[in-house]
Amino acid sequence: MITLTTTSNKYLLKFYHKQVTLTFCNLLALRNTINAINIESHFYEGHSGVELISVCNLKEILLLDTLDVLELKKIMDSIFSPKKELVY
Amino acid sequence: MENLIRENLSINIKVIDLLNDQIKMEAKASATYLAMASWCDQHGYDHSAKFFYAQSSEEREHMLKIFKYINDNGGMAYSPTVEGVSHDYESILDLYKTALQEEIKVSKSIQNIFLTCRKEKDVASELFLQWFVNEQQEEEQKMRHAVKIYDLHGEDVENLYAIDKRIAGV
Ligand SMILES: [Fe+2]
Ligand SMILES: [Fe+2]
Repeated sequence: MITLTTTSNKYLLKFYHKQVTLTFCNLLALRNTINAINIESHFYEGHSGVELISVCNLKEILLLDTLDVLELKKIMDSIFSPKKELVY
Repeated sequence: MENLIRENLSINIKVIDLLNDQIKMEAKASATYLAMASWCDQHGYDHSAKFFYAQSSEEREHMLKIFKYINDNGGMAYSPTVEGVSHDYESILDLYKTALQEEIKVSKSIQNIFLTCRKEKDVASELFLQWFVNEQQEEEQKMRHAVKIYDLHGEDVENLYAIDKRIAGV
């Protein structure tokens, strides 16, 4: 289970049993790291399917599998795109 | 979540991504013009060399302008790496033609970001980019002018160096 929520002016990333508090800068850096991962490469032969990333300026290390990467890409995408205004 | 992100960020995230790509482009242009200055130095085109040294630092200034803009508005600018800078040109005309092509590419990229700002309703960034739109027009004109004079008058070697002096006035 991966979730991202806010607490006052911080962002809380729950990654399975791990909890990481991110500042906005940390969040932007994480978004960049996640977006830079080429998911297609995971499906070529010889790829371990595992990504090792650091968050919060090297303070935390996360080990992601392909599904985690996809999930995080989705989360990053959704939190940064403004909700569509509903038209009635 | 959305409100908090808006508090931290004055400009659109897609625009920031594109501006970070633009930083790479400006850095590449700066490095390319430095390579061109070197070629001109090597081949005795002193005025063109001077011109490209100046262009190279202008491109770096463009890069820094975007860099600061991103950081000042809550985003994160990334220091670019530059690869694949060519040092080989067939002739001075070939060199200027390459420079013109590069400027055209940059203009298209700036226009694309400008239109993205419009689509995303990022008015501040659209205004910021207006300066770049004008600047690109000027730079294209400079290169096009140089290509034109080399193309028209650059048949014999004597002439080539005589034209080089005119570059100082471009
Ligand atoms: Fe430029
Ligand atoms: Fe330029």
